[in-house]
Amino acid sequence: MPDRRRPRSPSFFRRLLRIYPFDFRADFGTEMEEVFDEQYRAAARKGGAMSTLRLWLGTCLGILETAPREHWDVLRQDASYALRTLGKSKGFAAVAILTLALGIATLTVFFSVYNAFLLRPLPFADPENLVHLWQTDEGLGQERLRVSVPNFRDWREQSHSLQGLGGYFYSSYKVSSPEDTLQAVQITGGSMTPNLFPLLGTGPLLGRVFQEGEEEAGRDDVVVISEGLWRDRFGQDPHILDRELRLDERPHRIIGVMPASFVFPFAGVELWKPLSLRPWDEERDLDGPLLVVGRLASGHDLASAQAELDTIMGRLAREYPQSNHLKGARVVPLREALLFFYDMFRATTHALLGAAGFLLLIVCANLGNLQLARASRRSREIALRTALGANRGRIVRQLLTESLAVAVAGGVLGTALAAWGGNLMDQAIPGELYRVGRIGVDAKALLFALLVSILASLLFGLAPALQATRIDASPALKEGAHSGRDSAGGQRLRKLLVVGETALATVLLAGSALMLQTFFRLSQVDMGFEPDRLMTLELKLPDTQYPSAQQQNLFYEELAERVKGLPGIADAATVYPLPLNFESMGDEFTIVGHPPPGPEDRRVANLFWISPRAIETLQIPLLQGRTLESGDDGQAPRVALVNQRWLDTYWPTGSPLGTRIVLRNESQSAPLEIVGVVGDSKVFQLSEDQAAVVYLPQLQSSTRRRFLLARTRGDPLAVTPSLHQVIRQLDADLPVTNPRSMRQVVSESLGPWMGGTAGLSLLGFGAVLLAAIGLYGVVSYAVGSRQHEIGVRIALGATRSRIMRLVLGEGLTLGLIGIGLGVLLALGTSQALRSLLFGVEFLDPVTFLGMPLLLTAVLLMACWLPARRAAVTEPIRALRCE
Amino acid sequence: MKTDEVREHLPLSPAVFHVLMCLAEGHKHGYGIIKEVEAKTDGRVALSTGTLYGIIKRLLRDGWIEEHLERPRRVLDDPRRRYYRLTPLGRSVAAAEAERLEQLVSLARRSDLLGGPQHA
Repeated sequence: MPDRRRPRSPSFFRRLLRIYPFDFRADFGTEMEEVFDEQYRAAARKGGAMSTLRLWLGTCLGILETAPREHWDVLRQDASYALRTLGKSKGFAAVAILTLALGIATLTVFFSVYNAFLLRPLPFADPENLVHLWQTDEGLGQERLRVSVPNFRDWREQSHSLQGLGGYFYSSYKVSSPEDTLQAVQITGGSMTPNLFPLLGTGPLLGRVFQEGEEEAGRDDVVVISEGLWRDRFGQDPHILDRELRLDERPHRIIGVMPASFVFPFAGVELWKPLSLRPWDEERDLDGPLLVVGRLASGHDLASAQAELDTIMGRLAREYPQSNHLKGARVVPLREALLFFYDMFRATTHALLGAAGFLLLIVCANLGNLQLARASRRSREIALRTALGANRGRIVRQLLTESLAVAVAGGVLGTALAAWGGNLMDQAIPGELYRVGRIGVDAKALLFALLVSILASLLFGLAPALQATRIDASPALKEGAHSGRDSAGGQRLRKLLVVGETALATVLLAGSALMLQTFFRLSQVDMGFEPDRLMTLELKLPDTQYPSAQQQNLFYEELAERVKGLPGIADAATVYPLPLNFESMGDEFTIVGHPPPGPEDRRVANLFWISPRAIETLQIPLLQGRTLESGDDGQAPRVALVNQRWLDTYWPTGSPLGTRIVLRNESQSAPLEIVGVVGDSKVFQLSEDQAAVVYLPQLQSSTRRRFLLARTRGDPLAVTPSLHQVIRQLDADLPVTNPRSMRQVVSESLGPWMGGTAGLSLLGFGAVLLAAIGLYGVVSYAVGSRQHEIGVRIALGATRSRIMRLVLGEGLTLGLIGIGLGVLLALGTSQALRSLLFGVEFLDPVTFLGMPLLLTAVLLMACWLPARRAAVTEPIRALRCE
Repeated sequence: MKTDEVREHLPLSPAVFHVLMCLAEGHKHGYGIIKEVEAKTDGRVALSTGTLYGIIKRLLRDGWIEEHLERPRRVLDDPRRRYYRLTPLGRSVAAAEAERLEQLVSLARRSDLLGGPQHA
């Protein structure tokens, strides 16, 4: 009985018609229902279920096919109307598009940074299963230690949760090729166990990667080079394979070229060779050389691998109590290990993304306010259209299209700006920080920008559109031509928006205050040495040419002597490592004659190997005893210096001079006698707590890699050419790396804080500016629409200052509510910055009292102008206006 | 409208042409059009409601058809229906399209693609 089903089908058909735009439905909806009714009846008469089904199918497809076209028609109509309207208010359009573009650009740039550093998958096969393993030392409080070779072997043999474990480290090589006329260069290369390439799963662009067994001495003279090295040094020669490349003067055969996308373990590494271990690497209780990468076996995750490693390390600690007591293992996702400062970088990026999001919200709030003001000016037009039969949805859609047009224009401009900004960022962020691809606007960022634009248009367009169409038609039409009075709802909404944006601006201002103070405190830190007029550069002697400690010391002594003789140079020395260069060496030690400390209470110090005059060149004050002299060489008794912190920590009473200590890593050698105490100075980075330091004479050890320090009389960078010349005289093709003034080193060490500080300060500044403009807009609008009332007040005897106080008071109330809310919000959101702060308390008075005061002052100024205008209102004119 | 201006609209889509041909015979309502097109083409062309009213909207907008306000006797009518008829402009567009197609067909005939009169 088809007729009994009849009433249901049209109701579903009616619902289906809702896919069409309103106007189309209004014009043809009933008619289409009628046609469908007839068709439905005919189908039921003709062939029952099959025909009915065919009808439904054809009808649904037809509607789905034609509805988009109808929507497109409406959109085109609305868009051309919107463009006409916007064309009439060019000022609004320009301000809106420009501020939106800036907001969208900032957010998109930070998204691109986030994308390149934290989002894009690493350029290896199944990168989500790759992990990095650190050795930990609970006694030393160290979580990121390299792994000793015996421990690595045990992990590899005993672990089931990891289907492969590869080890690597990196160091720099003097690279030259026999047929090459270019200057030899110092290049960072990775040494890796042969299984590491297959483990990472990236194939070569040319040739092959290592085979098992190629780590053995005699077979390890092979090298795989990066695409960059192949391009820059060999002009992409297709016959590159089997050619010779000299690493530290040792001939190696090029067996493969990796594709440009292969970056491991960071961007500066341009070649890879099989890892050959030295005899002392086999000792379990020495600091290990290895960085370890593993791949999770199927069915295992980070937690289960960690649990298994914990078990293995527990077993090893029982087996080798001497070396493995309190040692552990830590498994982290590979990206966290490859990206230096991962935690800090992530916190900063999140903070900046959040802050840029807030800024865009502020932009939207401002635009929302502008739209509200425009809508109330257009209330007559809207009322007229409503009276002529346009329904509310239709008008909302029309107004939203206008917002969307603005947002799309802002989005396009913003994306172009973001592409430019991303490029700048790519150059500004040091290349060693692990990123996948370039920082730039890719498809994902484009989609992001598009979504953000659409969302923004809804944010600033929807509420005003709804508000505007709530207008009751008759009074709006009755009002005079100068209508423009807000409804009460509109007023409320405008105030709400201003309060909201002021609150957000407060949050951003608090964030930038915290970061600025951190940065300021960091740059005020007493480094303990004099960074001005100090030049540094890095050298590494190839062990083929300088195999013995004596030859190395001879070279460096001669270098320091010659540099000292240069004009404009007061003193010179060599050190290793360089302070504040994110590099440090540490070791445990025992004091001769003292019982060895318990495992929980170990003695640790940072080590520096220095030449004579290094303490003087750095201008670290000598507190007791003497500094190192040229007599402290291989033949003389072994000596060392310690710093004040060492003294405070390990030798609190009496003079340490004459005391002898033994470093764990050289327990076979004679003890070191402490001959002097020097002032404290920073070791690794500016934010660290002062560490205990032991200075060892380079003349009594073998250090091929050193930093030359030259104390200059004038501009340190000016001596660079003469330093190069002196080095060339001593060794014509010894590469010189990283010539920098110590000031540059110091500012690079501030790098991790730089991005967050600069970014948040800019965003904070922008936010305050926008909030002030927003409040100015609302207050002047209120003054404008209350001219009549103000005129009456003045006519009734209110003084000018009273009127000013009235306007200022109302504006400032909004501002203060916003600031109050903002402070509360900032207390919550600033938690995100906590890990980045230095020298500033989280509940910092400057941030949470000073910044609100500053903002209040700015907002007061923003209210001042409209308040003055209100105060000079001529009552007669104001009253005549009505 | 001049012939040149009419020609600008050509060629028409088959569905539009069918609708115009249908209305050339007299005024009709939507369901009538669908039925007639189907009957004339032996069911090969089945317009869906969506397609039909998309076409009607555009034909009305361009002034090729208009609403026919005379209605049949109530027993045969449904108040929801609207009746449409060709305007002179719509008629000349449809005629121009027919002419164009005829020329095309005679060309096809001359190229021996169809049984031509000379073979008859």
